[in-house]
Parts: sequence; structure tokens; C-alpha cells
Amino acid sequence: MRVLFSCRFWWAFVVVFVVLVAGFFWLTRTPFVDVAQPSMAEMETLAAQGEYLYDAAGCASCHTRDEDDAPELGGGLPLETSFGVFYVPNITPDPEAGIGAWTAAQFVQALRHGRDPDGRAYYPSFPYTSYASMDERDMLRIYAWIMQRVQPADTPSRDHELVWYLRGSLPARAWQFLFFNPTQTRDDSQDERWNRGSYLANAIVHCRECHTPRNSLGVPMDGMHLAGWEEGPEGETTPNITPDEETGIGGWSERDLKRFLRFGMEPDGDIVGSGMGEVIDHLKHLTDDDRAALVHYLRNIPAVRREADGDRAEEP
Amino acid sequence: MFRKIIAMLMMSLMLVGSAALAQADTEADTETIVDYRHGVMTSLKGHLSATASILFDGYEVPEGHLAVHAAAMVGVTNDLPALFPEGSVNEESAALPAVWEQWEKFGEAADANHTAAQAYARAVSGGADAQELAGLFEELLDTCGGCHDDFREEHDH
Repeated sequence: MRVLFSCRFWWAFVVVFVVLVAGFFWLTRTPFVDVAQPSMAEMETLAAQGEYLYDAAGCASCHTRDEDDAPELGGGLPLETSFGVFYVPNITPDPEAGIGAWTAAQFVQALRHGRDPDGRAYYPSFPYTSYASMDERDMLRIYAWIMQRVQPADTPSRDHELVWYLRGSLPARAWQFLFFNPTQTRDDSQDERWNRGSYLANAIVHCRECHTPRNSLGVPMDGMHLAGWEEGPEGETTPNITPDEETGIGGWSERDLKRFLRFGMEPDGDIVGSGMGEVIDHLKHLTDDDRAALVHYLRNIPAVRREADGDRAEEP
Repeated sequence: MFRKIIAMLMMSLMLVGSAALAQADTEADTETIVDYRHGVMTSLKGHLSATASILFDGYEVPEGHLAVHAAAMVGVTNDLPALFPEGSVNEESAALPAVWEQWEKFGEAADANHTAAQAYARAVSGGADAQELAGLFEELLDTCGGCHDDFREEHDH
């Protein structure tokens, strides 16, 4: 007991605490991103290739408010979650309110490592957890499209309104350290069409961000890839899109899936609305080959039997 | 005094009974309205799906079928808001309160849908080529989302 009140003990405690904190910050430091800034001519070339990826990635779906006069990528859309409200930021090329002052390396850092130019960690409400699997060249194409083709908007970004234990930069940093692990989209045991579909689904279109259930810490659950989530965007249940016959889309034909991805038309002719309707608005620009690859992938991933209302999954 | 009490009791019973009967009538009407609405939307889905089979899957149908589907779509999309009288919601309905809270916006979305159906039908009867028909049909499908995005509860696929 006398030890606890001794000076030596408290000095040791402080030293250990400082070492642990320093160690945490060292372990979670922002990785160096070695990406050269493209020249003006390169930016033009990249931008011409970027529109397709920008559409498929659905940047505007989240970064543009759902109002007629809302500036494209001007931010402000509230994402209501069980952790509070995330306000999607302005990512127009405005140098003050948006990302106009960002270098290509900083943009890649945001997508690949989930860090802003100051090294602050993003919350996984920003799907860098999927975008991290994107090829660097594709990241630069989207960067160039935004910088060259989107109009700057000076709308300031709002601060998030989160539960008390998630405020500040440390919680997001800790979450990344504990749980962030970029998905490997390639599987060499599969054919190239499957791998293209996997890349599209997991890195670009980021299907799992809405369709894979998460635990109470916001971590996608193992073994439930694309098995539906009862706490999806805007509190809506997102369906199971694995090829399970009973609870997923296993009963959908290849034609049904292609129609859905192109028009938002379900097998009975119904037209999807709400959140998925917005996604279809972007996916309709996919090439026939890419759409076929995405369908091939979705029809050839493990089936998960799960009603997206919280029922426990069973082994397929 | 006693007679007054009896009279008041009887009047109260009559009022309550009338209200109950009126309520029962309203509920039956709502069920009919919602059922009819579902029937109309189901028929529209059928025509949309059939048209997609013709335009995009290359299914060859007897002459005139495309025009039949087009005319039907024009017909059922005519004045869609009329199928949504105030309060016509029960547990079977997917109509959101926004239908009535934003009635003008809902009407505009429905008008856009009908206008797109008319444009497509004119192209069919005018002998437009496959590419033009496909484009106009896709525009029609887009207008379906105009209502479903904001005015319909999302459901399991």
C-alpha cells in the first residue's frame, strides 16, 4: 500500500503511460503516400477516364444533398446512425470549403488509408474501407474528374454530431488500428470476369458498406459478406444479395440481375426506389461487360442464409 | 329525472354506434382502395417487364403487342394521384405519409411518369426505331423512381 503513494511508483506510471501513448501514435501514424502530382496534360487524360469510375463509385450519392439546387459534391447530407449523425463533407474543388487544395497524394491517402491531409482518421462512415482496395490509377482518375470537371462550391462542411465516446480524433484512429484491413479483391482461383466483378463490387461500387451487417463497433461481420443489414443507410433494411435461394437473390436469373443493375427493375417489373434507386442511377452507366462481371461475381460468392431482420445466419 | 337519464344514455349509445359504423365503412373503403391500387401497380409492372423483354431481350412478339403495352401504360398512369385519397393507408400499403404531406410534389412526379408514358407510346405508334424506343422506355423507368424514391416505403426485394 505504501508503494502506491511513493513518488517512484507515480513516476514509473507516468513514464509507462507516456510510452504507451507514444507507441499508440507511432503505430497509428499516417503511412507515407508516394504519389507524384500529375501534370496538367495527365490530369486531362485522367479526367476523361474518371467520369465512369466517379459514377460507379457513387460519390455524388452521399456528397450531394437531395435538393434540386444542391451543388454537386457540396456536402451537407446527414447520415443518421446509431453512433450519431455524420454530415457528409464538401469535396468540390473549392480550395477553402472543399478539397481544391489537396494534392493527388493527399487524395490517395484519404481513400487508401482513411486519413485527411492533417493525418486525422476518418470514421468508417466514409467508405475508405472499400475504396482502399481500388487501384491507385483509378483513384487518380476520380481525383482528376473531381478537380477538372466538378464546379467548386463554398458551402462549409458541418461537424458531425456523435455520441460522446466517439468525439475527437482518437476513437477513429483506434478503430482503424484495431479493425481496418483493406479487402483483397483478387482471387487467383477465380476467372478474370469474377475478379473484375469482385473489384467492382468491393472496391468501386462498395456494395458491402450497405449490404454487409456490422457489429456494435461498426465492423463488418465475418462470414456475412453481402448478407443484408437491418440497420442500413437511413435506417432501412438492405437485402441479402448473396445467391442463397431462400433469403438472397439465388432465385434471380442472370437476366434478372442485369435488368436490375441497368434499370432498377426487379423480376416482377417493379422499379426500386429509395437508397438503391440512387445507386442504380449511377450503376446504369456501367458497360455491358462490367455489368456482366458484377452479375457473375454476385452469382458466384458464398450463399449466406440470413433474413436481414436479425435472424442468426446458418451455414449454407 | 329518470327519463332524462335514459334519454341521454340512448343518445350516447346512438352516437357511439353511428361512429363505429362509420369507422367500419371507412376501413372497408381503405381496403378496397389499397387493393385496387396494388392491382393497378401490378398491371403496370407486368407491362413494364413485358416491354423490357421485347426491347432488351429481343423477344419477338405478334405485331401490335408493343403498342398494346404502351397504351396500357398510358392508361394506368393517367391521374395516379386519384388512387391516393387522403388517409388511404393500411398495413398492406407502402405509401409513405409524404404522399399527402407533399401532395404537390407527388403530383408532379406522377405527371412526369404519365408524360413519359405518353412520349413512349407516341414513339411506338409513330414507328420509331429500336434505339429511340429503348431510350424513351428508359426515361419512363426513371420517372417510376421519381415516386418510389420519396413516396414509397422500401420493401424486401
